[in-house]
Amino acid sequence: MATVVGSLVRALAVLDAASAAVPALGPRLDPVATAHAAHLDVLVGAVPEADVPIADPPRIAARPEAALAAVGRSEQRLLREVRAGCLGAASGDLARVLASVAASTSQHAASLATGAPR
Amino acid sequence: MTVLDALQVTLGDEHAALYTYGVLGARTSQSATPELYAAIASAYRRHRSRRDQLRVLVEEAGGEPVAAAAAYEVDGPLLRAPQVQAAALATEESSVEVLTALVAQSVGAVREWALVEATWSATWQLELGGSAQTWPGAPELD
Repeated sequence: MATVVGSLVRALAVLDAASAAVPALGPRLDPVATAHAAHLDVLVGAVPEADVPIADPPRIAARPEAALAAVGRSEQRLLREVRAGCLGAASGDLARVLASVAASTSQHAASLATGAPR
Repeated sequence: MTVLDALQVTLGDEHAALYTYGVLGARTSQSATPELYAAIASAYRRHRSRRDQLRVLVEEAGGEPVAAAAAYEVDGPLLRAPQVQAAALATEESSVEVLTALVAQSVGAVREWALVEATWSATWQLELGGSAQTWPGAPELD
């Protein structure tokens, strides 16, 4: 659980950095960040005493292709970590929530990869 | 609900999905709407494989796989491509809900399989005109 929360914080930091580096990407990246913020809220809310880590701001090149590639790698890493969290979850309810987060992350990653404004 | 119960529910849903895709495929023109036809044909193959795997999983769990009904109701008119596409999208949305429920009721290899299939159905929604969501398969969290 802590690993997944940390992964979401890191993924959000990458999205923020990419939007700051290439503001024109904002309309494509904002929906992903909004979804991950909601994922984080639910997971943190499930464990009230959990600490939310702070991610160091990553360095993203100010070129659209490079920024999108960095986001793509970050989302694929997040997907792997959420899947692992789902498979290892002791609670079935938590596993279901993490399965939904994985499905959402996969959808957003596919949407970014095709370039379609979904 | 036991894992066997959840597997049987998922298998029942797959029987309905496979029937629906059969109807949708018959209502789709390969020449007029090749992309939609390809998306539906791919989904049909995926759901057929999923149904076959579920039969195996039910038997491994000690159950007798539920049989398919003779027919299933397919909602709405299916006269135009957007209607066919919407029906296919609804089928995948339903599949994600059923499969994430199976994730909750299972562990180990069955959970892993259900997670892979739920993710596939969620992602395939984009091929059917759907958009990325925050909580696919868990709409009560929206």
